[in-house]
Amino acid sequence: MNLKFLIAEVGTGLRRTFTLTLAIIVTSTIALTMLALSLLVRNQVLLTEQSLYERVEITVFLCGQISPVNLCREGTATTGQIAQIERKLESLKPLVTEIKFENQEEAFKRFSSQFEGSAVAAEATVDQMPESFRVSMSDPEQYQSVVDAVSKLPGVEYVQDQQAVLDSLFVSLNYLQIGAISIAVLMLLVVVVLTINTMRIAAFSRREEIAIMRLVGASKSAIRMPFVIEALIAALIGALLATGLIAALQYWVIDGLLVRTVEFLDFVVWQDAIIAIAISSGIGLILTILVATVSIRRYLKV
Amino acid sequence: MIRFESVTKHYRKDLPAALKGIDLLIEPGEFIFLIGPSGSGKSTFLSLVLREQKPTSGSITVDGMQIEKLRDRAVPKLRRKIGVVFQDYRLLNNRTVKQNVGFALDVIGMPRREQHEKIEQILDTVGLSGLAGRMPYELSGGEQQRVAIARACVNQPTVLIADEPTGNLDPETSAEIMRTLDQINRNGTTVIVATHDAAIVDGMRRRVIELANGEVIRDQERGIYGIGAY
Repeated sequence: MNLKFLIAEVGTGLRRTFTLTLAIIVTSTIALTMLALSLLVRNQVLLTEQSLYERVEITVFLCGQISPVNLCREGTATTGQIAQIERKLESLKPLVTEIKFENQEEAFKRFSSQFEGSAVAAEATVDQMPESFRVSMSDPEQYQSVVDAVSKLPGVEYVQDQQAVLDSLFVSLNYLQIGAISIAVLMLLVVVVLTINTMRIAAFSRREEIAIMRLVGASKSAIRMPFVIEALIAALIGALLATGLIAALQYWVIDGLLVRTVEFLDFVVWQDAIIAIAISSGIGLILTILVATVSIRRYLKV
Repeated sequence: MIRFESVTKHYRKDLPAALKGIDLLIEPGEFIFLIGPSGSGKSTFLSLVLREQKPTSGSITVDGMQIEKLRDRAVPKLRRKIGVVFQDYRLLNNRTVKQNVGFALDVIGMPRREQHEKIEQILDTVGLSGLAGRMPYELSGGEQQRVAIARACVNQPTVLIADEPTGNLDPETSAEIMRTLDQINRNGTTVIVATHDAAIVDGMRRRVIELANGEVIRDQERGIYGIGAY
């Protein structure tokens, strides 16, 4: 096929199916962005799990001055009770790796800095603060056995494990991922339908040319090539726009905002973004070529 | 050049055959008129030569290629050997004369630099040398048909099929078109003209093959249109 001619044909074709091509570009941009986003969220989940679970602590709050009576029948934890709790925790090594006792002074400091400027912080006093053990584990997944071991001991008000807090974070990240994948699948479906329709209309708008091409002995591939290239161009533009959107997300939202403000978490990096967009663009392009080839075969009986 | 051996074509089993056991031999360089009323089988005959369809039974050979055994992949190769011209010209209205003729070369992948001379030459043969830059709608019917002939012949086919080439033209212009086809024929191309136009058939006195109800009822050297004129 001669290149000059091919380019001219593709140009004419794109002009004739301009609005449909535009629709393909917009939907494939959304589809590929969402697909890449869902991959990124998945990466982020793995990363967050790793970095947070490693630091997960269990806090064993001891009975204090303001503990509810039903949890602390014997009143403030005695030195003996505290020692017993510590022995129990020690016995759980090596699962338990570190045991730190936080006294009222330290608890007050932590409390004040967390609620700085609020009315609660102004009224709180040191002796209202509960004492606690902060427990780190080698395998945070097994937090439940530690909780079970100490929660019923006398002098323990309650055991707080951060796992519960994290779980809700992961649930919302999962929803985000499911949402992004759903939109991606839906949009890819729209891209497929649009591509099929565009091929049909493109074939119809060029029926005269095609009739002549057949008569003068153009090969099937020569007749189909301009159509497939048109679809490919639309998909390529969609992929480029999606790449731009994901790059913007990485640059402004992740690197520009999250990394600076949420210091305790690791975030996905450029390499993750590039891999995600490459995978989703690849899927988009291959899908478009397949659909265009199959549907033009249907509408162009050569 | 074209050989039909006991060729029968059924479109539907419950309808009479469109062609019934046709035997025909057309030699290279011949000029043939294919005549007969509507529904006599002319169009079926032409579409079989072009391998737009396959015969129900029998054997067809076109320039050494066996039509009924030809694979889909080889069909373009056959069609490059056959030029086709229609009653309604079928030019592309958004392209110039030169682009219309060049289109036939573009789509078979011929580089533009090799096209120029071929296009000039064929436009000269059909008498359109000065009109290469015109658009089809700027031309008369006769001129448009010449463009169509040029497009059909630019790749030097061995056979030219003209289906009612003068159907939309006045007698004088028709005669000019026939002179052009005669010129093409003299250059060595086998020409088959399917027509209802008695004047052009009578004016040329070439071989006439007459079909009726799917059968050849007359095959006559130097024939005329009217039945029983020999």
